[in-house]
Amino acid sequence: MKKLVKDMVLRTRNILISDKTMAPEGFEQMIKSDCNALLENYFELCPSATEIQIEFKDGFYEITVTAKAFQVRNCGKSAL
Amino acid sequence: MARKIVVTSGKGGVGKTTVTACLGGALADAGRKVVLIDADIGLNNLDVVLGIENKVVYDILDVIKCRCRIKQALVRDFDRPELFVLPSAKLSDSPLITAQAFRNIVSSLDKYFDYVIIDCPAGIDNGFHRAVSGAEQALVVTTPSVSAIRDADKVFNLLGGYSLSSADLVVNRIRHDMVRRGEMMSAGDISRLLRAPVAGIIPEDDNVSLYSGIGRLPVNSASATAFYDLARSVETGQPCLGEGASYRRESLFGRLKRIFR
Repeated sequence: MKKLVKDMVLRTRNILISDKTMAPEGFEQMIKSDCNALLENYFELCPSATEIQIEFKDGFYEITVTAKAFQVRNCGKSAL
Repeated sequence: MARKIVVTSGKGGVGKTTVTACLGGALADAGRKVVLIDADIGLNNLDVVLGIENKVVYDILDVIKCRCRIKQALVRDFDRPELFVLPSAKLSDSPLITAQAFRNIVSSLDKYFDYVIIDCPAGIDNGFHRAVSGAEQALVVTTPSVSAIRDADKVFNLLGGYSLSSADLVVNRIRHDMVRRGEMMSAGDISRLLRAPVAGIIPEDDNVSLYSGIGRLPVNSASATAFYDLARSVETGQPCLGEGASYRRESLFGRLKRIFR
Protein backbone atom coordinates (compact mmCIF):
# COMPACT_ATOMS: atom_id res chain seq x y z
CA MET A 1 0.00 0.00 0.00
CA LYS A 2 1.42 3.38 -0.95
CA LYS A 3 2.29 5.81 1.85
CA LEU A 4 -0.44 8.35 1.08
CA VAL A 5 -3.21 5.75 1.19
CA LYS A 6 -1.60 4.17 4.25
CA ASP A 7 -1.78 7.55 6.02
CA MET A 8 -5.40 7.98 4.93
CA VAL A 9 -6.37 4.56 6.24
CA LEU A 10 -4.55 5.11 9.54
CA ARG A 11 -6.12 8.54 10.04
CA THR A 12 -9.60 7.22 9.21
CA ARG A 13 -9.10 4.29 11.56
CA ASN A 14 -8.12 6.62 14.41
CA ILE A 15 -11.17 8.78 13.78
CA LEU A 16 -13.50 5.76 13.83
CA ILE A 17 -11.94 4.42 17.05
CA SER A 18 -12.10 7.82 18.69
CA ASP A 19 -15.79 8.15 17.81
CA LYS A 20 -16.59 4.73 19.24
CA THR A 21 -14.66 5.12 22.49
CA MET A 22 -15.74 8.70 23.24
CA ALA A 23 -16.00 9.05 27.01
CA PRO A 24 -19.53 9.58 28.38
CA GLU A 25 -20.64 12.92 29.82
CA GLY A 26 -19.45 13.42 33.40
CA PHE A 27 -16.64 10.92 33.01
CA GLU A 28 -13.96 13.58 33.53
CA GLN A 29 -15.83 15.00 36.55
CA MET A 30 -15.98 11.54 38.08
CA ILE A 31 -12.23 10.98 37.65
CA LYS A 32 -11.48 14.46 38.99
CA SER A 33 -13.52 13.78 42.11
CA ASP A 34 -11.78 10.43 42.69
CA CYS A 35 -8.32 11.97 42.11
CA ASN A 36 -9.13 14.79 44.55
CA ALA A 37 -10.17 12.31 47.21
CA LEU A 38 -6.95 10.34 46.75
CA LEU A 39 -4.65 13.39 46.75
CA GLU A 40 -6.39 14.91 49.80
CA ASN A 41 -4.98 12.03 51.82
CA TYR A 42 -1.47 13.38 51.22
CA PHE A 43 -1.78 17.09 50.38
CA GLU A 44 -3.79 20.09 51.32
CA LEU A 45 -5.10 20.89 47.86
CA CYS A 46 -5.88 24.36 46.49
CA PRO A 47 -9.61 24.45 45.83
CA SER A 48 -10.72 23.95 42.21
CA ALA A 49 -7.11 23.62 41.03
CA THR A 50 -7.31 19.98 40.00
CA GLU A 51 -7.52 19.44 36.23
CA ILE A 52 -7.97 16.22 34.26
CA GLN A 53 -7.14 16.01 30.58
CA ILE A 54 -7.95 12.91 28.53
CA GLU A 55 -6.74 12.74 24.96
CA PHE A 56 -6.89 9.96 22.43
CA LYS A 57 -3.67 9.70 20.43
CA ASP A 58 -2.30 6.98 18.19
CA GLY A 59 -4.66 4.35 19.58
CA PHE A 60 -4.05 5.16 23.27
CA TYR A 61 -5.67 7.33 25.93
CA GLU A 62 -3.29 9.93 27.42
CA ILE A 63 -4.50 10.95 30.87
CA THR A 64 -2.93 14.01 32.50
CA VAL A 65 -3.76 14.98 36.10
CA THR A 66 -2.56 18.34 37.43
CA ALA A 67 -3.22 19.67 40.89
CA LYS A 68 -1.90 22.35 43.24
CA ALA A 69 -1.42 21.97 46.96
CA PHE A 70 -0.53 24.34 49.84
CA GLN A 71 1.38 21.74 51.77
CA VAL A 72 1.98 18.10 52.40
CA ARG A 73 -0.13 16.51 55.12
CA ASN A 74 1.57 14.98 58.09
CA CYS A 75 1.22 11.28 57.37
CA GLY A 76 2.62 10.17 60.72
CA LYS A 77 3.61 6.66 61.71
CA SER A 78 1.17 4.06 62.78
CA ALA A 79 1.67 0.95 64.88
CA LEU A 80 1.00 -1.24 61.87
CA MET B 1 -43.19 -11.64 -0.02
CA ALA B 2 -41.09 -8.71 -1.17
CA ARG B 3 -37.53 -8.16 -0.08
CA LYS B 4 -37.39 -4.83 1.70
CA ILE B 5 -34.11 -2.95 1.41
CA VAL B 6 -33.23 0.49 2.76
CA VAL B 7 -30.48 2.49 1.05
CA THR B 8 -28.86 4.77 3.58
CA SER B 9 -25.58 6.54 4.27
CA GLY B 10 -25.69 9.13 7.03
CA LYS B 11 -23.82 11.68 5.00
CA GLY B 12 -25.74 13.55 2.32
CA GLY B 13 -24.65 13.70 -1.28
CA VAL B 14 -22.89 10.32 -1.49
CA GLY B 15 -25.42 8.91 -3.98
CA LYS B 16 -28.20 7.20 -2.03
CA THR B 17 -30.92 8.33 -4.43
CA THR B 18 -28.81 7.42 -7.46
CA VAL B 19 -28.05 3.99 -6.03
CA THR B 20 -31.73 3.47 -5.16
CA ALA B 21 -32.89 4.43 -8.65
CA CYS B 22 -30.18 2.54 -10.54
CA LEU B 23 -30.45 -0.58 -8.39
CA GLY B 24 -34.20 -0.54 -8.91
CA GLY B 25 -33.69 -0.12 -12.65
CA ALA B 26 -31.21 -3.00 -12.80
CA LEU B 27 -33.55 -5.32 -10.89
CA ALA B 28 -36.45 -4.30 -13.12
CA ASP B 29 -34.33 -5.04 -16.20
CA ALA B 30 -33.85 -8.53 -14.74
CA GLY B 31 -37.62 -8.96 -14.73
CA ARG B 32 -38.28 -8.27 -11.05
CA LYS B 33 -41.21 -6.15 -9.96
CA VAL B 34 -39.72 -3.28 -8.00
CA VAL B 35 -41.15 -0.34 -6.09
CA LEU B 36 -38.95 2.49 -4.91
CA ILE B 37 -40.17 4.47 -1.89
CA ASP B 38 -38.86 7.99 -1.49
CA ALA B 39 -38.62 8.32 2.29
CA ASP B 40 -36.87 11.69 2.10
CA ILE B 41 -39.80 13.84 3.18
CA GLY B 42 -39.48 17.42 2.02
CA LEU B 43 -36.14 17.04 0.20
CA ASN B 44 -37.28 14.34 -2.21
CA ASN B 45 -35.44 13.75 -5.50
CA LEU B 46 -36.19 10.21 -6.58
CA ASP B 47 -38.86 11.46 -8.98
CA VAL B 48 -36.40 13.91 -10.58
CA VAL B 49 -33.64 11.30 -10.99
CA LEU B 50 -36.08 9.04 -12.83
CA GLY B 51 -37.65 11.88 -14.82
CA ILE B 52 -41.16 11.26 -13.55
CA GLU B 53 -41.62 14.53 -11.66
CA ASN B 54 -44.46 15.58 -13.97
CA LYS B 55 -46.29 12.28 -13.49
CA VAL B 56 -46.65 12.61 -9.71
CA VAL B 57 -50.27 13.15 -8.66
CA TYR B 58 -50.44 11.59 -5.19
CA ASP B 59 -47.66 11.00 -2.69
CA ILE B 60 -47.04 9.05 0.51
CA LEU B 61 -48.83 11.63 2.66
CA ASP B 62 -51.96 11.33 0.49
CA VAL B 63 -51.88 7.56 1.05
CA ILE B 64 -51.55 7.97 4.82
CA LYS B 65 -54.40 10.51 4.89
CA CYS B 66 -56.50 8.07 2.81
CA ARG B 67 -56.96 10.65 0.04
CA CYS B 68 -56.08 7.92 -2.45
CA ARG B 69 -55.40 4.20 -2.64
CA ILE B 70 -51.77 3.22 -2.62
CA LYS B 71 -51.92 1.96 -6.21
CA GLN B 72 -53.09 5.39 -7.34
CA ALA B 73 -50.01 6.98 -5.83
CA LEU B 74 -47.56 4.66 -7.60
CA VAL B 75 -45.86 6.13 -10.67
CA ARG B 76 -44.53 3.79 -13.34
CA ASP B 77 -41.08 4.42 -14.85
CA PHE B 78 -41.05 5.52 -18.50
CA ASP B 79 -38.55 2.90 -19.68
CA ARG B 80 -39.20 -0.02 -17.33
CA PRO B 81 -42.76 -1.28 -16.90
CA GLU B 82 -41.73 -3.32 -13.85
CA LEU B 83 -40.39 -0.30 -11.96
CA PHE B 84 -42.65 1.89 -9.82
CA VAL B 85 -42.09 4.82 -7.49
CA LEU B 86 -44.04 5.89 -4.43
CA PRO B 87 -43.20 9.61 -4.31
CA SER B 88 -42.40 11.48 -1.15
CA ALA B 89 -44.42 14.35 0.29
CA LYS B 90 -43.14 17.63 -1.08
CA LEU B 91 -43.73 19.64 2.06
CA SER B 92 -41.62 19.37 5.16
CA ASP B 93 -42.14 16.51 7.54
CA SER B 94 -45.69 15.83 8.70
CA PRO B 95 -46.43 14.32 12.13
CA LEU B 96 -48.74 11.87 10.35
CA ILE B 97 -45.81 10.15 8.68
CA THR B 98 -44.90 8.02 11.70
CA ALA B 99 -42.72 4.93 11.65
CA GLN B 100 -45.83 2.77 12.10
CA ALA B 101 -47.63 4.46 9.21
CA PHE B 102 -44.54 3.97 7.05
CA ARG B 103 -44.32 0.29 8.02
CA ASN B 104 -48.00 -0.14 7.16
CA ILE B 105 -47.39 1.26 3.70
CA VAL B 106 -44.40 -1.02 3.14
CA SER B 107 -46.45 -4.02 4.31
CA SER B 108 -49.28 -3.16 1.95
CA LEU B 109 -46.86 -3.21 -1.01
CA ASP B 110 -45.42 -6.55 0.04
CA LYS B 111 -47.66 -8.84 -2.00
CA TYR B 112 -47.45 -6.86 -5.25
CA PHE B 113 -43.68 -6.60 -5.64
CA ASP B 114 -40.48 -8.64 -5.53
CA TYR B 115 -38.47 -5.76 -4.11
CA VAL B 116 -39.30 -2.70 -2.02
CA ILE B 117 -36.34 -0.33 -2.01
CA ILE B 118 -36.45 2.60 0.41
CA ASP B 119 -34.47 5.76 -0.31
CA CYS B 120 -33.49 6.94 3.18
CA PRO B 121 -32.98 10.64 3.95
CA ALA B 122 -29.56 11.91 4.97
CA GLY B 123 -28.80 12.16 8.68
CA ILE B 124 -29.56 9.87 11.60
CA ASP B 125 -32.66 11.50 13.08
CA ASN B 126 -36.36 10.57 12.87
CA GLY B 127 -36.37 10.26 9.09
CA PHE B 128 -33.57 7.71 9.21
CA HIS B 129 -35.27 5.60 11.87
CA ARG B 130 -38.59 5.78 10.07
CA ALA B 131 -37.04 4.56 6.81
CA VAL B 132 -35.01 1.78 8.44
CA SER B 133 -37.98 0.52 10.45
CA GLY B 134 -39.66 -0.58 7.22
CA ALA B 135 -36.69 -2.62 5.98
CA GLU B 136 -35.21 -6.09 6.45
CA GLN B 137 -31.88 -5.40 4.77
CA ALA B 138 -29.70 -2.33 4.44
CA LEU B 139 -27.26 -1.02 1.89
CA VAL B 140 -24.99 1.66 3.33
CA VAL B 141 -23.58 3.92 0.66
CA THR B 142 -20.27 5.67 1.13
CA THR B 143 -17.66 7.37 -1.01
CA PRO B 144 -13.93 7.01 -0.36
CA SER B 145 -13.79 10.29 1.60
CA VAL B 146 -12.98 10.20 5.32
CA SER B 147 -16.12 12.13 6.31
CA ALA B 148 -18.42 9.79 4.38
CA ILE B 149 -16.71 6.73 5.89
CA ARG B 150 -17.04 8.21 9.36
CA ASP B 151 -20.77 8.79 8.90
CA ALA B 152 -21.23 5.32 7.39
CA ASP B 153 -19.57 3.86 10.48
CA LYS B 154 -22.08 5.62 12.71
CA VAL B 155 -24.92 4.32 10.54
CA PHE B 156 -23.63 0.75 10.79
CA ASN B 157 -23.57 1.13 14.57
CA LEU B 158 -27.16 2.35 14.57
CA LEU B 159 -28.30 -0.41 12.22
CA GLY B 160 -26.98 -2.91 14.75
CA GLY B 161 -29.96 -1.97 16.92
CA TYR B 162 -32.43 -3.18 14.29
CA SER B 163 -33.04 -6.83 13.49
CA LEU B 164 -31.88 -6.64 9.89
CA SER B 165 -30.84 -9.78 8.06
CA SER B 166 -27.90 -7.96 6.46
CA ALA B 167 -26.20 -4.57 6.26
CA ASP B 168 -23.80 -4.32 3.34
CA LEU B 169 -21.59 -1.63 1.92
CA VAL B 170 -21.81 0.10 -1.43
CA VAL B 171 -18.73 2.13 -2.31
CA ASN B 172 -19.79 4.86 -4.72
CA ARG B 173 -17.82 7.30 -6.88
CA ILE B 174 -14.58 5.39 -6.71
CA ARG B 175 -11.77 6.36 -9.04
CA HIS B 176 -9.88 3.19 -9.97
CA ASP B 177 -7.05 5.23 -11.52
CA MET B 178 -6.49 7.07 -8.23
CA VAL B 179 -6.70 3.81 -6.28
CA ARG B 180 -3.99 2.31 -8.52
CA ARG B 181 -1.76 5.36 -7.94
CA GLY B 182 -2.28 5.07 -4.20
CA GLU B 183 -4.16 8.37 -3.97
CA MET B 184 -7.53 7.01 -2.93
CA MET B 185 -8.66 4.28 -0.54
CA SER B 186 -9.86 1.13 -2.26
CA ALA B 187 -13.16 -0.61 -1.59
CA GLY B 188 -11.20 -3.26 0.29
CA ASP B 189 -9.62 -0.65 2.58
CA ILE B 190 -13.03 0.83 3.32
CA SER B 191 -14.58 -2.58 3.90
CA ARG B 192 -11.85 -3.41 6.44
CA LEU B 193 -12.25 -0.08 8.22
CA LEU B 194 -16.01 -0.45 8.49
CA ARG B 195 -15.89 -4.23 8.99
CA ALA B 196 -18.71 -4.60 6.50
CA PRO B 197 -18.96 -6.75 3.34
CA VAL B 198 -19.00 -4.96 0.00
CA ALA B 199 -22.11 -5.50 -2.11
CA GLY B 200 -21.20 -3.05 -4.86
CA ILE B 201 -18.41 -0.84 -6.18
CA ILE B 202 -19.65 1.99 -8.38
CA PRO B 203 -17.03 3.94 -10.33
CA GLU B 204 -17.08 7.70 -10.74
CA ASP B 205 -18.90 8.21 -14.02
CA ASP B 206 -19.87 11.46 -15.77
CA ASN B 207 -22.77 9.59 -17.36
CA VAL B 208 -24.58 9.53 -14.01
CA SER B 209 -25.00 13.29 -13.82
CA LEU B 210 -25.50 13.51 -17.58
CA TYR B 211 -28.41 11.06 -17.59
CA SER B 212 -29.78 12.49 -14.35
CA GLY B 213 -30.05 15.83 -16.14
CA ILE B 214 -32.45 14.30 -18.63
CA GLY B 215 -34.21 12.14 -16.08
CA ARG B 216 -32.94 8.76 -17.24
CA LEU B 217 -30.82 6.05 -15.70
CA PRO B 218 -27.31 5.61 -17.19
CA VAL B 219 -26.92 2.84 -19.76
CA ASN B 220 -23.92 1.34 -21.60
CA SER B 221 -21.43 2.78 -19.16
CA ALA B 222 -19.09 1.64 -16.40
CA SER B 223 -21.53 2.71 -13.71
CA ALA B 224 -24.47 0.94 -15.40
CA THR B 225 -22.46 -2.31 -15.44
CA ALA B 226 -21.56 -1.80 -11.79
CA PHE B 227 -25.22 -1.35 -10.90
CA TYR B 228 -26.02 -4.65 -12.62
CA ASP B 229 -23.29 -6.21 -10.49
CA LEU B 230 -24.92 -4.69 -7.41
CA ALA B 231 -28.31 -6.03 -8.44
CA ARG B 232 -26.83 -9.49 -8.82
CA SER B 233 -25.16 -9.20 -5.40
CA VAL B 234 -28.51 -8.27 -3.89
CA GLU B 235 -30.30 -11.13 -5.68
CA THR B 236 -27.83 -13.85 -4.86
CA GLY B 237 -26.46 -12.60 -1.55
CA GLN B 238 -22.95 -13.13 -2.91
CA PRO B 239 -20.68 -10.23 -3.92
CA CYS B 240 -20.62 -10.00 -7.70
CA LEU B 241 -18.03 -7.52 -8.80
CA GLY B 242 -17.39 -7.33 -12.52
CA GLU B 243 -20.14 -9.66 -13.67
CA GLY B 244 -22.70 -7.07 -14.67
CA ALA B 245 -22.68 -7.94 -18.35
CA SER B 246 -23.50 -11.62 -17.84
CA TYR B 247 -26.21 -10.74 -15.32
CA ARG B 248 -27.89 -8.58 -17.92
CA ARG B 249 -27.85 -11.42 -20.45
CA GLU B 250 -29.35 -13.70 -17.84
CA SER B 251 -32.00 -11.16 -17.15
CA LEU B 252 -33.28 -11.24 -20.75
CA PHE B 253 -33.51 -15.01 -20.56
CA GLY B 254 -35.08 -14.69 -17.18
CA ARG B 255 -37.68 -12.39 -18.68
CA LEU B 256 -38.57 -14.92 -21.40
CA LYS B 257 -38.90 -17.59 -18.76
CA ARG B 258 -41.25 -15.43 -16.80
CA ILE B 259 -43.42 -14.66 -19.84
CA PHE B 260 -43.80 -18.33 -20.79
CA ARG B 261 -44.19 -19.62 -17.20
